[in-house]
Amino acid sequence: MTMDTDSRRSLLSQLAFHPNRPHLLIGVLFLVLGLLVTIAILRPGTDEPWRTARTEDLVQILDDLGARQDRLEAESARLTALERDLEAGSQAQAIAEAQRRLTALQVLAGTTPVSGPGVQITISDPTGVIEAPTILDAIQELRDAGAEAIQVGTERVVVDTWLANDPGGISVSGTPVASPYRILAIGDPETMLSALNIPGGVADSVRTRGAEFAASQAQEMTISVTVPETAS
Amino acid sequence: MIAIIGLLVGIALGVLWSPVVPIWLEPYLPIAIVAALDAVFGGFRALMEKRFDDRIFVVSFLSNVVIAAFLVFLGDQLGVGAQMSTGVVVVLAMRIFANAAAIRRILFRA
Repeated sequence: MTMDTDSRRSLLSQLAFHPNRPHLLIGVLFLVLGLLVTIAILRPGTDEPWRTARTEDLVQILDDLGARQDRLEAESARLTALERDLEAGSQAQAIAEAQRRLTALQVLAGTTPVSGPGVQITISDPTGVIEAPTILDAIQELRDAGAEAIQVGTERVVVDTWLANDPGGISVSGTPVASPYRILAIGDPETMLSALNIPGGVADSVRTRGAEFAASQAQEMTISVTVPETAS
Repeated sequence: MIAIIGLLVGIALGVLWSPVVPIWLEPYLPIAIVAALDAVFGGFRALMEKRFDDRIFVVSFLSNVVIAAFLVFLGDQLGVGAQMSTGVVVVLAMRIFANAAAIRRILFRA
């Protein structure tokens, strides 16, 4: 107990006001400490989420934003140039632009023959294990890989094409198609081939079912089948 | 007494003046604070044990801050800045806890 009161008294005596040099120095040190703590707590922008993010994440975010900006700037430049051309008034250019869009839409709608580089796929299925969903998967995969025009059997695949199982094969919008199924697709051959051949992709699933899958690319091919143009 | 006055003046200065920390100093600020706190707790413990020495306190305060900042700087240069900061903070925090325990034992005998 005595030691306790002693130490308390000594604490009080130490805390008492004795202005001499070392005490002043200690005071200055505490001043610095208080200043530092306040600065650290009141530092502006401590509530920004970026401050605590890791450097790698920040770099990733920056890269993404940069790529996005580049894309948008390219798009903006294209549209600005187009606007200028159209405003410059030459009717020929407006017609050319309209024609370009018409062609693009015709390709998508399937009302015009298309030629260009592409891939030809043959799925031989003598035992009848391939059903409509597999062919649909192939079509979706080709579309994802940027195919502009697709033909299955003798049918052009367009926005309202449907597939169903059929005795002896499948039915594409009502037209029976039997093995071997031939699929033509116009687009970038490299991209489409690698999309088809990814592990667990269309080629894999066809082969695991016991059918044969063959794909070859062509630098020039034509899809001449069209769907009738209907006004709607 | 003068220490408390200094602390209060420092806090007041920080609030009123709110200086902008240069960007190169920013990683060292928290480390410097923890190192200084370590020195303060050590000094307080020495005060309790009646072996407080002004000179030792001043020297340990300054050297703590400088060494901690240097370690973090070295870590930054070696590419392990974040881990080094964590290590320094952990060690200093452990010392602070040890000192706080000693102070508590003397003050409250518990």
